[in-house]
Amino acid sequence: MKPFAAQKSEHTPAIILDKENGRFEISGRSFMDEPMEFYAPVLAWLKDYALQPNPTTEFVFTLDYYNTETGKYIFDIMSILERIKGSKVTWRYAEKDQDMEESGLDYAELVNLPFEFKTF
Amino acid sequence: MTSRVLYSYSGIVEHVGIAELIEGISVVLNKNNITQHYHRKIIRIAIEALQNQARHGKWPTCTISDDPSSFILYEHDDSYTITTRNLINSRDIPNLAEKLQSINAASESEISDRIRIQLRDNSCIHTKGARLGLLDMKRKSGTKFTFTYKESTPFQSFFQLTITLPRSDQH
Repeated sequence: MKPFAAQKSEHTPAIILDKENGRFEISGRSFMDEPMEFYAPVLAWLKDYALQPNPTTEFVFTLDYYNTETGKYIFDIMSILERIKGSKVTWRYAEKDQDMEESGLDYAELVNLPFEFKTF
Repeated sequence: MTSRVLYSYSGIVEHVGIAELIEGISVVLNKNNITQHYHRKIIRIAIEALQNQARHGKWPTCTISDDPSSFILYEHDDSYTITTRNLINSRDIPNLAEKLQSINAASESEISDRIRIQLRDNSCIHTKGARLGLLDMKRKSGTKFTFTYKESTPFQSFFQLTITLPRSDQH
């Protein structure tokens, strides 16, 4: 399966979706106005991946700033992961960044997935 | 009490320009040695506030040069405040005021519950009327919004929203 990658910009995150190397990551900033355009291919890739996933899938989020509209697409990503056996979420955030920790807790409450919180 | 303007912007807020505005705010915060804790909070609140303006605050008959919208970040002795001003349709005022009052009256846990419900509910956020951004700003600031509006015609009103972020020596 061909990897999906996006370079980060001032308001869009870096994305790596690489089945062969087992890397699934979103990092940086995400506050575009029309997140659907940006995240639609991400969701499509994941749905495809879900048909023949790896035995384990660790999806790592390391977001700095993201708007609430992006937040919905993060939930959509996690909803797909819920259906993939062996999935887990790693939510990374700066130490003492309570807002990002709280956002992670929102998702941990909403989805039925193993969640690991890691600070840096 | 002393107050000063850290950052101000006047004019139409366009989605394509928000990244630039955020970068400008970040530069100012760095120059003024604002701690990382408040830097992050201010930027996150500013993103939502500016996107609200871009989405709801554009008046169709205003040109770039006469749009009265503004965004101001203030530093006070005990807080930071972000104040946004823009025109909105007068008929939207009652609904907006009711939403803001409801958000103001909600407890911390009620706000978190509402955020989680809206994250989970597709239809809310995709209609852009979810006010998820307002809930998020309330949670991040921890304080009530102050807002005023003044009708300038039966069709348009001037709306002002202030978000206050208290400061403490802890951070």
